[in-house]
Amino acid sequence: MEYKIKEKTNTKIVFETRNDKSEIEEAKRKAYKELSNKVRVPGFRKGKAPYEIGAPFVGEGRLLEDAVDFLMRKDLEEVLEKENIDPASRPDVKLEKVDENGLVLTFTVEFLPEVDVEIPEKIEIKFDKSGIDKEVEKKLKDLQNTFTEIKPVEREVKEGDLVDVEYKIQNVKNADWKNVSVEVGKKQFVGDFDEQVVGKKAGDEFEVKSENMTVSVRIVAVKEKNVPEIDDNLAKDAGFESLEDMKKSIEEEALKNRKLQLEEEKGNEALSILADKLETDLPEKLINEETDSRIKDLENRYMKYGVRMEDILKSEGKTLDEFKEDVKKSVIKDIKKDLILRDIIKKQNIKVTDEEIKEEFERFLDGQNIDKKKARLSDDAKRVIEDQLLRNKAISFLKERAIIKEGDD
Amino acid sequence: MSRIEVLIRPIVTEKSTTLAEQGKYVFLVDKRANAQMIKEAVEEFFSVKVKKVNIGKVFGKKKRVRYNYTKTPTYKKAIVTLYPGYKIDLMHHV
Repeated sequence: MEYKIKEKTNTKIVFETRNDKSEIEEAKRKAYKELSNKVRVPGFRKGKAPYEIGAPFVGEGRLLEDAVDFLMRKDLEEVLEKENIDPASRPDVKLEKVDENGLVLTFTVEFLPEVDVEIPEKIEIKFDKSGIDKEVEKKLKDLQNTFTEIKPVEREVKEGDLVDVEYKIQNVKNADWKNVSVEVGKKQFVGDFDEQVVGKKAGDEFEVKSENMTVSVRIVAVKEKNVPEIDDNLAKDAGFESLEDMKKSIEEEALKNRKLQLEEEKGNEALSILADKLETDLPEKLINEETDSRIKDLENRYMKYGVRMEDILKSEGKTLDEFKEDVKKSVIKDIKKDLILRDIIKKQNIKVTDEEIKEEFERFLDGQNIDKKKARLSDDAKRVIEDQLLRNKAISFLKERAIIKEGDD
Repeated sequence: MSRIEVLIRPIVTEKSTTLAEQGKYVFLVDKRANAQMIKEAVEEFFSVKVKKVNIGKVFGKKKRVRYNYTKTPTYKKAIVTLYPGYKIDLMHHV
C-alpha cells in the first residue's frame, strides 16, 4: 500500500491510498474464506472448497466488494498508526477507482487538535448575587403557607374557603359518591361550581352542569383558610425579631448556600472559564454528529413523558434552529473542556494507580448493590474508571487554583 | 472408439482436490474405456506423463420417487497418477 497526504490541518487530514493488484487478490482470498462458509459448492462440504473452485459460486462482485471493504479498514488503520492520529469521528471514505489494476481510496479523517493551555496561578470566579431577591420572596411565601390555619366554620361559603364535597357523575352506570376538597375561586372543579357554591351551607345539594356531563354535588363541610399577612407578627411566630430581621437572615442563608455550592463546583467553574477563553479549531463533523445525537436523546426523553419537543420549544418561544444553535454551543464548550483536561493531565503528569481503580470500582458496586463476587472488572470498565479518575484529579487541580471573587461587578 | 471420447470430464469434489495435491487426478470416463486408453488420452490432452491409472465402476444407487424406484447412473471413474513434477491445471481445461 502506498499513501500520500493531500491536506493536513489542525483538525483534519485528507489522504489517498493505493493498493495494487496482488493486494486486491490477497484481500479477495481473505474475503472468500469468510464467505465460503455460507456457500454450497457441489462435491464439497460447506467452507471446504478451495478458492479457485468456490469463487464463481460466491460471485465476483460480492468478493470484490468485501475485498475493498477489508482493504479500506486495513489502509486506514495503517495510515492512522503511522501518522499517529486518533480519529474523533467516523472517517469519510471515497472510492476513487477500482479495477483489475488497483484500488484508489481517499480518506478524510477528523481528529481533536492538541491544545496548549496556560493555566494561570489564580483563576477568578465571580460570585453571582443576582436572583437572590426572588429566592427570599419564595421563602417568605413558603413561610406564609406553613403558618396558614385551616379551621371548620358554621356559615355560608365564601370565596377563598375550602369546601369538602361529595360528588357523583350522573348518567354513568355504577357511579359512586366520591370525596374531594375544593378551594373556592380557583376553578378546581368542573363547570360553574365556583359560582354556584357561594352562599350555600354544609348539607346543601345541587347540580353542576358542564359541557358533557351533569354532576350532583353535596357539601360536607366548609372550612375557613386563615392566611397570615407577611408582617412583624408572622416574623415573631417564626422566631425572628421583626420582618426586616427575618428577611435579612433568609437572604444570608440563601447566599451562604449558594457560596457553598460554588465552593463545591469551583473546579468545574474554573474549567468552564478556561474553555470560554480557549480558541482552537474543532472538527466540524464531530460537532454536528454530537449535536444531532444530543437532540435525538432529548427528543426521546420527552417522548417518554408523552410530550413533543416542538411543543416545548414553542412554549419557550424558541425555534428548532435556535435550539440547535444552543446545543451546538454547549457541545463545542464540552469538547473544549475535554481538550483542556487532557492537556492538564498530560502536563501535570497526572496518573492513576491500579489500586485506585479497584477502589473506585468497589465503591461503584456498593452504590449499585451488585454482589462483589459476581462482578468482574473488565478492560473496558477499567478504562472508563481510569478516565473518570484522571478527569476528577485534573478538576481538583483546577479547584486548588480557583478563587471566588465577591462583588457586584 | 477414438481418444476424444474416452475422457468425459474431471470429477471435482473435496476428495479429488486433496488427491490432486498428491499428483492424482480423478476423471469421469467412458464406461467402455480401459486403463491403457485412459493413459494415452490423458498424456495426449494434458501433455503429461502418467505413472499409473486406477479405474473403478461407481454403481448407481436405487432412489425412490414416490411409489416407484429409479436408479442414479452408473459410471466409470479413473484415478490417474502422474510422475512427480507433472501437473494438470483443471481450471483451465474444464
